[in-house]
Amino acid sequence: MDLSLSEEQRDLRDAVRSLLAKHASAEAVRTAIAAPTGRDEQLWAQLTGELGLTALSVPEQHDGAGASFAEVAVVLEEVGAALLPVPYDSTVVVAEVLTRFGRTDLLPPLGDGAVGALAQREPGDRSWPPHVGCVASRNTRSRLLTGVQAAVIDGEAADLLLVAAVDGGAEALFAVAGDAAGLSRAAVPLMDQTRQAADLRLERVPGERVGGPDAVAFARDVAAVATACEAVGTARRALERTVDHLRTRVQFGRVLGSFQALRHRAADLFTTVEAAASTARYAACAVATAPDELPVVAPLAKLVCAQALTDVAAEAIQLHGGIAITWEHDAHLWFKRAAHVQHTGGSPEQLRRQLAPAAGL
Amino acid sequence: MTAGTSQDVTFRAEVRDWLEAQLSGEFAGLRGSGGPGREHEHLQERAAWERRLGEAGWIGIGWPDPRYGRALSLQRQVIFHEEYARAAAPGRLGHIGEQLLVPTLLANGTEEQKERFVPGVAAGEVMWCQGYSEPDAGSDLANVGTRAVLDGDRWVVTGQKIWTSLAHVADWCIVIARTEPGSQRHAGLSFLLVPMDQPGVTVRPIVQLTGTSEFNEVFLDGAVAAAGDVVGEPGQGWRVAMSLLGFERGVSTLGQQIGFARELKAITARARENGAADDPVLADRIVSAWVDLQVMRHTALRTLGSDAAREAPWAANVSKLLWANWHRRLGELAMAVEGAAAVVTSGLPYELTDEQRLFLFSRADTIYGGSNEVQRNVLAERHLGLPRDRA
Repeated sequence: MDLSLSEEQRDLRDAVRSLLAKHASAEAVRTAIAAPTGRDEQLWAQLTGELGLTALSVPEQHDGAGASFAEVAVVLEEVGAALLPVPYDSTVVVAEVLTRFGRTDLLPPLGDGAVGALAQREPGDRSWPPHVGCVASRNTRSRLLTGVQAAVIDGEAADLLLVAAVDGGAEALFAVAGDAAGLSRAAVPLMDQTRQAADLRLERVPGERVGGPDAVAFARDVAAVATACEAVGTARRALERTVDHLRTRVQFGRVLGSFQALRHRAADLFTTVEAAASTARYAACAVATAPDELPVVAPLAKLVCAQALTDVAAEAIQLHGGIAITWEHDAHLWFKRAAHVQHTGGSPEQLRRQLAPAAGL
Repeated sequence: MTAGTSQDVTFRAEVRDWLEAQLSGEFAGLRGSGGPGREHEHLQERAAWERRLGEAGWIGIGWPDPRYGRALSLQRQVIFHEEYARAAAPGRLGHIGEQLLVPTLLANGTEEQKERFVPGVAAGEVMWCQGYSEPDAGSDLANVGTRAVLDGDRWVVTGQKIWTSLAHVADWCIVIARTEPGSQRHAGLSFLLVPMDQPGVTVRPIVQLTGTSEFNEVFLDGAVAAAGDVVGEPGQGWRVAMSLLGFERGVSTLGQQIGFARELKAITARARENGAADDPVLADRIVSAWVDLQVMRHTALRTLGSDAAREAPWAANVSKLLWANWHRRLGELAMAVEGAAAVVTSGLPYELTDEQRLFLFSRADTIYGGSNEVQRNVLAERHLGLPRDRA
């Protein structure tokens, strides 16, 4: 497995980076999250329609770019760096799952900006892997799903939702249309305002079966990898901005970065972030070429990258000093994203418990 | 690493079979010997092992000059190190000659020097040690005080080196000495090749906290080197010494991690056996150690990627910080898993258990080969663009 970026991947990264540098400045992001939808609709249209970035790993015969999740990961990192308020991660996870399980027929028109979302948790559930409480009852053609899901990211905007339900005694993954009869959605406010979420109530909602327990697990793993890649982007950007501050801020007649006590902390953060980036890269390549490794490397990448972002975001505040506890400074955006990533999709303790058998315990 | 081409698979089998045959036969007693904290073990047998490696062409497989080495691909060098570690083959005695002296000569030496020194290293017959550090030149490596004066056709060297691994078995020492009187810091140093077997050289072992000796002091009191045994121009020794410290891909890192995995596995098995694993806090620490080992593996793979020179120019510094800290924590974990029994040694006069040896010797990991603090300074200056501390 070659973990270096290919030339095409580098070009893709540079193209997305320069686009976002132009159109997704911190001010633009703040303007977008203050808008009624909380999203940058114009940029979303550009990313999906003009650039086709949500369909990167979808096969060409299904109107995708025929690339792989390794390419999607490159975009995720840039989206994470900008904290771009668009439903990119949710949508690419759904696209990847449907592609993998041969259900591209269910994909909404991604080029038109269609949104996907993955429901991962029931209200009040603290378990990991999450408890599956939705129930599928059999209808003549499809299944009818009944249950509730909490704080589904991009759940309100989604054209297609993936929901796990118990079907004939086993877990299965279902695709549900956003406008399906019996589905009600209510927006829930989040501490991390760069994301949108909704509670779902399903009452005999028609769902298309995507796959069994392996589909449920695969969706969870791909979501973990997407989270890890985005977190790496955010962490790198937060560290970059912090190092810029250390290079330019003068106190006691010298720049802060000349104090060894601060340089060493920056160096440790750099080590933490690049080590974490290696796990995200490995896991993204595994989605593309070694999916049998995902049950281990996906939770591993999520665990490590969420912790790295948590460390960097906390230190970014401390190293910036007073300005970083203001609403005006971006540090709180990184810090809130870090908390979101850390506490959803499996806590560090839960993920380590999940990995215990692989560790020989 | 991944399987690679079918020829690489064949190569792996060749290495594995050769090691297995050697370590089941004549060298069976050497399995697992001579590792960190065990450098003192089986010196004569390990010298014979070096010669066997040399005969079979396993020394210098990565040397880029095909006249001397085999110039094998990065992938195959990694395979060799992985198999070497997997077989628990003995700690090397010849690695300073193989990995420091010869690459330096190939890059900076004269043809005459290459012809004179490389074959002995390649044959596993001539051992080298490295005299860089001094009592007043530790992390501040440029503060070299050892002097060398040209006297006719020879250099006369006076000074003291310290932390010199393998000085007691080495035939030659690489000595960084000040050859321009009154010069400061990095200027005026020379890279000299000094024979160890002479009246002006005295080696004194340093007894470490383990009670064993891996390191030595080397006293140079009128020690002599031939005038021609200087690598590069006199006065350019710093540049020559640093020429190897640029971008390192760490072909031996994955092999090192196989050894680490073996240590962690033993600790994990012990925790299951003695009940420590039933303590959820200790179990969490064990899983964390395993997770961090995977992090190091993925990082190593990234530093071996096809475009690593561009993407991971920080590889050597980041890898050193990661493994040194990890290994030190592993020593602490090994003790915690033993519980109160961890304090009892296995015998007199001072026979340590494996856990104690790991716990104690791993304190050196974050100090030698560029301390954590030096690694952080290099990262801050070279990779983060932060200014030097001028306080």
